Amino acid sequence: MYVAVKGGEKAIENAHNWLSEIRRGDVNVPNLEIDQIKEQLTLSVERVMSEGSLYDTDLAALAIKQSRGDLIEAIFLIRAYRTTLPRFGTSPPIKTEDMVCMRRISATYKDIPGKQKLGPTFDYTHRLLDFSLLAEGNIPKAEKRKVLKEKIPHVLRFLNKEGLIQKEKNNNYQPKDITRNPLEFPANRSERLQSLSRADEGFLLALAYSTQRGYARNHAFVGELRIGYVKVKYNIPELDIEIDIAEIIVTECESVNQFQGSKKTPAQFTRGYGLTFGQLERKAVSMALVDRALRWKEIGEEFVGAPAQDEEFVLSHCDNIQATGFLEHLKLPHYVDFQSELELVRRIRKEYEKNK
Amino acid sequence: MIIPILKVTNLSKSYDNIVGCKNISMSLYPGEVLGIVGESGSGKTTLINCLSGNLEPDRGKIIFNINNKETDFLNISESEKRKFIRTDLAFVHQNPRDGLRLNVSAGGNIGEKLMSVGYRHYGNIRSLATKWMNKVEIDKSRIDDLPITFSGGMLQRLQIAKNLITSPNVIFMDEPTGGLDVSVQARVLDLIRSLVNELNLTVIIVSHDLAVIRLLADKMIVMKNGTVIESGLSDQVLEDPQQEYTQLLVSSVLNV
Amino acid sequence: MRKTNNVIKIKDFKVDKGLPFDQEYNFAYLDENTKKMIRRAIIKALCIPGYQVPFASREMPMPYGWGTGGVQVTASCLTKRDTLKIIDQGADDTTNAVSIRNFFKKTSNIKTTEITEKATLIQTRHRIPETPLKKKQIFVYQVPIPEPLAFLEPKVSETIKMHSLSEYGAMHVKLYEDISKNGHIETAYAYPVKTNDRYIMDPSPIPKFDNPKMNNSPAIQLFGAGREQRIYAIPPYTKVKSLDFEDYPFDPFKAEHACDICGSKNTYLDEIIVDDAGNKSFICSDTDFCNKRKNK
Repeated sequence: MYVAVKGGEKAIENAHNWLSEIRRGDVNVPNLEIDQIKEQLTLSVERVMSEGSLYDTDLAALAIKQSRGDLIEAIFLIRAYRTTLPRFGTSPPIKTEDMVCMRRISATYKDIPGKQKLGPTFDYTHRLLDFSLLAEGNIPKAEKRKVLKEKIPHVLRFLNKEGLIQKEKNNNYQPKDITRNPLEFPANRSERLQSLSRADEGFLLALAYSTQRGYARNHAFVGELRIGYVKVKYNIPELDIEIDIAEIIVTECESVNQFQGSKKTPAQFTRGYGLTFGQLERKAVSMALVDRALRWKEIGEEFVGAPAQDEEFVLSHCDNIQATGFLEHLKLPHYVDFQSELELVRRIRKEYEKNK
Repeated sequence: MIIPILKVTNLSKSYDNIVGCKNISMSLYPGEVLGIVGESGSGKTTLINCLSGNLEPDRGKIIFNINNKETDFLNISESEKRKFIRTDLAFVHQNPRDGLRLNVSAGGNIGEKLMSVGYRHYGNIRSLATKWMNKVEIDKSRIDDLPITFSGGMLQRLQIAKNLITSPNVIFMDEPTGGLDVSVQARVLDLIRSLVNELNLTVIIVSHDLAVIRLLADKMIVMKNGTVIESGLSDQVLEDPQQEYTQLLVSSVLNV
Repeated sequence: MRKTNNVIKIKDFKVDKGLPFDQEYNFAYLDENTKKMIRRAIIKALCIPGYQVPFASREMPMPYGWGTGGVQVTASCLTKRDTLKIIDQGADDTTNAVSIRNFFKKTSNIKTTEITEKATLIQTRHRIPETPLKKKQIFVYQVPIPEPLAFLEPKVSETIKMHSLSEYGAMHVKLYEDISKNGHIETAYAYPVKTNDRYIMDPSPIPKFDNPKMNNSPAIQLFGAGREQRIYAIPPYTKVKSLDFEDYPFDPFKAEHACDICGSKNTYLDEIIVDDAGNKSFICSDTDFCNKRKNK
């Protein structure tokens, strides 16, 4: 008599042991240190922090090591850990106008108060494999300058002064934390931006690209892209004093988009906004373009049915942890559902044969 | 005394300071066909959308009186309203694609309205659907075919069947022949006329085509810039228009 | 680059202190505030049978789609006195059932069982046990897509309206189309039901063979959808009716075989291919029920 396969428990244990072994690789090669990941794979670490929505370089580096470099898996580890952390309170909004910029560019003005600053970027590098890295050659010394004391104003302020760009109104809305409240539709912009900020970089990139190619085209310019250090403040309720609790790296992008006007609004420039943890330029710019596309209703633009305009479509599918989980669940046993489909197909075929 | 089935008082609707329709008052009696004419932008579509529940007017009153039961259309809950629309009203769109599910068979499309008002017997739904296909002159062998395989005229006849099957009390038609080739317009128009006569339907029909109004409507109103500028029995208005604008319309000087 | 500080200095890595990882977590993993939030959603769901209550689903240490909704509901209902049973596809020993059971063993040190009658709380994926559920048992379903109308209308903002106004005509259109095409209602699992004569509900992807077991059950039935952030419920002794037509009544069919192990003729069967020639064997998908019968 046939007995169904048992031993799920043993199989799982064996599989996980094998995984640990293969993660370590050849033991003759030195073990990868968390510090090495943190210092030398910074952009991976920053992506994990951004999409994991937890700013901690040590944990992100650990997650990358544990996940064998699979960044979505690493993000997942961070998200699951984040769930268990107690919530002490909420910091006031960070002030990006106070940012100590390591990079700051504008594609709309050649010269701007506060100057353009190229900073550590892949832009203008020639994408040639650098074989000297095989041998860990000498690192060229970057020239050092003093940090500028004065604030660097946001570029879009100048357009704002002239009234040429859409005004952002302060509606005194107290943002809802989307990780503590269920997302409901229609969402407002605050929840939209939160979702986009932790969204999958690849998904945002593809959507932003689709707007450039004509699916809800919105004629974007990078009004400003700035990357640097901002202070996170926290008001300790018991003492009623505000202290700096952290300094983090963020990337902020404001896009300027041409707009020809509608019944509601005269011709003017409109904006999209992107903000991410770490130096994630591609994501910040993509986010700004997608944010702008999603604002069609508020501006009085036409809904042309483009994916990037559809709030429910974008927000329901931008989270890679949700997406990968549901996709990967296809690997779970589905014997029962499949069995009921099998029976159905057999019955339908039987009837078909009978009626032939 | 006959009570109007629909009584509208001082109905207004504007969009961001652009007038849709303004201070419309009118009555419709059971079994009547009312035509609304006017050039595009005159407010006729806004009006019919307000009356059928597709648009929320800014001001005014809409009272339906069906089988001696009064319904204050603008002051009932959303769920009562949707139920009322489902059971008592019908809307025939200019483009049949707006009123049909293109991925659902012809029979399923006609049957949907029955199912939405509670029919749960497959056989009955199917025989009623067949009967209505017959009535709108679609071969009953097409009952399981998808609408995408239908011609424009057939689609429109299918939409009419879908709308009439539950015997609604008031039927709205927005340019029902407007999107069709001239060659098939006549057949659809003829069908509507015979259904109106046979079933004694109460209809509000919007059209820019005076021939359609002449053929179907007992009464008509002429709209311009969101207001009614002339109304009366269709024969009278068409034979002896009082307003200069209507005169222009009738003499086909205006291209509406 | 400058050194940055971290937002909140998390206590040094616990692994360094040699503490087992799992003792770091609250009973049944979730913190008490989260459990409270979920219990509120459950109570609301029980008050409105079949209505999908939105809740702020947490990220769990297993992937979305692998039972995170069910796990959160179970974790919120679990007390130290409970006896837990976990099944997947009817069986206690499939990989995912083992994995979820181990998760609760690790985080709550709870008693577990494979015997349906002995369990006070059962979490399931895709089956209802053959042994009838009884009073005071809590039965938790894992739900991938809670919205029964999703395949007609993907937009949640629309389906919410359809539910609140009971605009369910389109649902029957789907069944109508099935019959006109095949002479059958094609849905074989996740077969939609109407709960308490009001809400159309997705019973999770159980085979339709199991649908009648939901009707008037003495147990509390809870449904958790983690990724979609919804909880819904059927309180004890509630009417649950599978959608159908008067002349095409609901038919909970199964394979026309008896179990090759225990001989049962009225239980749901798994089909197993036993050799290269494609010969088949049929055995109960409910392993606990099958074992009990065999040992009798």
